[in-house]
This record gives sequence, C-alpha cells and structure tokens, in this order.
Amino acid sequence: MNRLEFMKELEALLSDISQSEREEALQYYNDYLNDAGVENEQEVLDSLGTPQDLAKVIKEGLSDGGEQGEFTETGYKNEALGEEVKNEIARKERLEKVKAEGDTGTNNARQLSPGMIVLIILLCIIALPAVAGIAAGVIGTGVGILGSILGILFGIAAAGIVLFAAAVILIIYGIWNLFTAPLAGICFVGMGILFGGLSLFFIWLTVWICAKAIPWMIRGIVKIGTRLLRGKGADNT
Amino acid sequence: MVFNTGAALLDAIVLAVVSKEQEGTYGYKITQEVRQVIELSESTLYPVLRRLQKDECLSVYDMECAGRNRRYYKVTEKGMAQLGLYRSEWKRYSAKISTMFEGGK
Repeated sequence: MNRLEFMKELEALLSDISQSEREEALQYYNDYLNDAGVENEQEVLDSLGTPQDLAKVIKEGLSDGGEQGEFTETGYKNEALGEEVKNEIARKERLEKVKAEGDTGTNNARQLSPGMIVLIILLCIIALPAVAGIAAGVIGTGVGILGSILGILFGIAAAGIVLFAAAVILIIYGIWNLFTAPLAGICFVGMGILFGGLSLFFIWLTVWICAKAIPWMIRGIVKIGTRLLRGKGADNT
Repeated sequence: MVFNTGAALLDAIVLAVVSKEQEGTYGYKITQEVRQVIELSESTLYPVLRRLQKDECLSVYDMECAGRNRRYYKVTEKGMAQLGLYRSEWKRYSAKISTMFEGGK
C-alpha cells in the first residue's frame, strides 16, 4: 500500500470523528511522512501498521485521553491493540517453554500429522452443507419476519384509509337522509363518526410504527449486528 | 526494556523533549528523540501530543518550511509547571528505588 492509498483509507476510517480531529490527525501523519523523507516513506508506513490499527490508536486517544497506554518489554502497549501485544508475549513465553523442554529431551512436537490435516479438511467439507443450510434458514427467518412486519403495517394503513373513506361516505349519506328519513340518517351519521374515529386510530398507529417502532427496531438490529461482528472487542469498551 | 512505562512517565519524557527547543519542535523529531530512550512505535505519539495539547501543556502553531506547513509543538507555562512536578517526583521516586536496590541505609 502506498502513501496515497494509506492516507485515503485512514481518512475514510476516521469519518466518524469530528472534522477538526480528523484534519488534525491527518495533518500530523502527513507531516510525519514528509519529515521522514521519501526514502524512508515505505519503512515508516510499514511501522505505522495498517490504517485500521492507526485509526484505532487515534480514536482510542480521543475517547479516553490515552490513559490506557503502557510500555512493556515488547514496546508500547495500547488497549486498542493490546490483544496482539499480549499474544506476542504469550508466543514468546511458549517458545521459551518449548525450548526448555527441548533441552531436557521431552520436546514433543505439537504439529499435526498429515492424516489429521486431511481429516480436518474432510470434516470441514462435510459440515459445509449443514452450515450453509443454517445460514439460509437464519436469513430466511429474518426476511420472513421483516415481510410480515411490513404486511401488518400495510394492513393497518389500508384499514385506516378505507375506514376514513367509509366514514366520509356514511356521514354525507346520513346528512342527505336526515331530511327524508331522520332516524336512518342519524344512524348513518353515528356510524360514520364511529368509523372516522377508528380510521384516525389506525392512521395514528401507522405513523407511530413508521416514526418510532421501525427506527427503534433497526437500531436494535444494527446494535446486535455490530456486537456480533466486533465479537470480543465490544466487551472491552 | 524490562520495566513498563506508564502514561505519566511518557508525558514527562515528551514534555522534556519538547521543552529543549525554545522555538518548538515537530512530531517526527519528537518521536525520534523519544525513541532514543524508550521503545516506541511510530504511531504512538500522536494521541499523547494531542492529549497534552488539550490539557494545555503544549501549544501548537504552523510554520512554513520548504514550501509546506509544518505543525510545531511548544511547551506552555502550564506544561513547564507540569514538567517541574514530574522532574521532582521522578527524583524522589528513583532515589528511593536506587536506595532499595543498593542495599539501603
């Protein structure tokens, strides 16, 4: 990834922070790369990590004042990237342990034999249809629920409109009849008013669903989705 | 490095590095100088500088250099006071640890 691509991606990743913070950060790293010089540019870009890592560091600094950072024997450790650093330490410890075991002659290679690898691959292939089926089921259920919600919404809206129309017709017809058959006329007008009230209720319900319930549900779905995607990361924050 | 460096010590080192330059200094140079004493990745210093700037320990200004604007950092009065505090604290702390290590009196 060259500098232009790197900065472009970083800018995109920082689109959810304020403009002034974004410009500040982009200027800093632009300056930094300029000052490093063209000959060191690629090296600096490599050591900055991925744009994702860098965006994380920048955002982490914004949210908590950067108090979480700490230096360890493997360099600077930031909660945002802490997992990787910890892994690095754990890996080193493991390596040392393995080395120590090797010295006393008890080193037992934990590598998988070719047979085991073939078996695992076969298991994966066998499991694929089942996984695909479950995924299709989950997606189908989601679409079904969405469809039925939309159906109910349309039903309510249609009921509101039809009732309103009926109410208007009944009231006009009732008033018309008041002169010839007052009793029937009053009945029609009463029914019209009743229908009108019901239609207003349905219309109000439709508006409420559109304005409140659906955004609330979408927010819920997005929340669940991001939690699933981020996995453990979301628990830390 | 065996010993961990907390955020306060990093702040102190950065303030010390920036305070050496009367006219202020810039991000790349600060990073290189801090790296002479502690291990530090290239990405780390920005959040620290930004925080010190928000805490009004550092002030920034842009100066043209070789046809482009470069951001300079300078220690404020508040930053100098903070650095003084860090210095005296470090003296006290390191002296105590040294005494302990060297057998104590």
